[in-house]
Amino acid sequence: MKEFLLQAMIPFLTATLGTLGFALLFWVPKRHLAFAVLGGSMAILAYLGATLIWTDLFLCNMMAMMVSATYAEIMARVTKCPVTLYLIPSIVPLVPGGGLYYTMFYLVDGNKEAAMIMGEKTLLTALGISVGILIISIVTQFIYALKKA
Amino acid sequence: MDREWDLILTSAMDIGKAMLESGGEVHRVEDTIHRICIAYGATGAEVFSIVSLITATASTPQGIHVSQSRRVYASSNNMDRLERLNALSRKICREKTPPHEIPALLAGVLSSRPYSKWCKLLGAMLASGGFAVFFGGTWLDGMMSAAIGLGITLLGMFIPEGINQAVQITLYSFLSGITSLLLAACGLIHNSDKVMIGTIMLMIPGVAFGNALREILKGDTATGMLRLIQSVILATTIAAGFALALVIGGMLL
Repeated sequence: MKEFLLQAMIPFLTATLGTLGFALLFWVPKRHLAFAVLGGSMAILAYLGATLIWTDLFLCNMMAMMVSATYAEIMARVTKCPVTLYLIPSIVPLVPGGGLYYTMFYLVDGNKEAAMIMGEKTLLTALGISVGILIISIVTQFIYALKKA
Repeated sequence: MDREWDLILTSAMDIGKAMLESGGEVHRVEDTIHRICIAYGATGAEVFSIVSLITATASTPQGIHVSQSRRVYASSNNMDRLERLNALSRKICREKTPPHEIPALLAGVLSSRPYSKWCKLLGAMLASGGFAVFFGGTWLDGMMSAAIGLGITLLGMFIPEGINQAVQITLYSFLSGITSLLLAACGLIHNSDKVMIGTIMLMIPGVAFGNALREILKGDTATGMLRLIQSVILATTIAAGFALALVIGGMLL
């Protein structure tokens, strides 16, 4: 556990800083800033936690996104503001920027096999994120519909 | 009465257009326009929106149909404006604000600037620097990535408006790629790949991609497909810019 925390320290800190940067770029209102950035930090912590249990890239990203999407949906209801405001910062740390780069790098390098592997990883990550968001948004809509009925 | 309905629908459409331009989902835009029309007593409101167009027809209590459309050319993420617009539409629906007062309220929302330009630059630095280290770079790599992120954001502020987005993104990607390679050749950064990934994160349409899939499954298929294709093309142009930098860098260095 202690080892995990030490290992998670730098990714956690840098992802939080990076999410803060994006929150500023996306003009997240000042009074929501801290909690919106927290969504990003949670996404990365959940991702690192998920890698301890599963090895599958798709599954880990889906689980991480489900955790931070749940947070985003709850925060949006509590503060009565659009979900997007909390959801967008929490997607940021999971976005496969590295995958896109290495896919392109291996393509230019002429290493087709490696490019295919990286491309697949990039797509799986993107899919995992989307499926995670979707599951939570379907569940919240369902709960909402039940409440109204 | 017709004049009044013209004004109501105009206000509703303007709010909807501003929402779409600040990164709101089409579902929210359609819902907002519909709610405002109904709040003022319309017997029905048919609203349809995709990323680039909104059209709406309201049926007034007098049995007349009022119809308008709006063309939307570009959108970017502006969460502060989106939240204010959302709050404004809630207020209008709740209080039935006199229609002639709405344009002034909307202008107030559109002119508010919560952050200065410096915050945007700081945001770009934190984002590209933070993610360069996140993806495995050293602290030096992070600082250099932040500097490059700052550079391309500054460039983006001075580039004249109206230049094709794909051209802009390719230019930024190429410039940041070639700068990273040059800095690496001078020994000023440890891993040029991590520095490039940091700056890629600044431009990558990951959020748009996520939103696209969300919208498709929500039933806004047309918008979802448009956004999906847009983000795939954007990712390709980013890759093209960096690929060009790698090829040219490989020949020179």
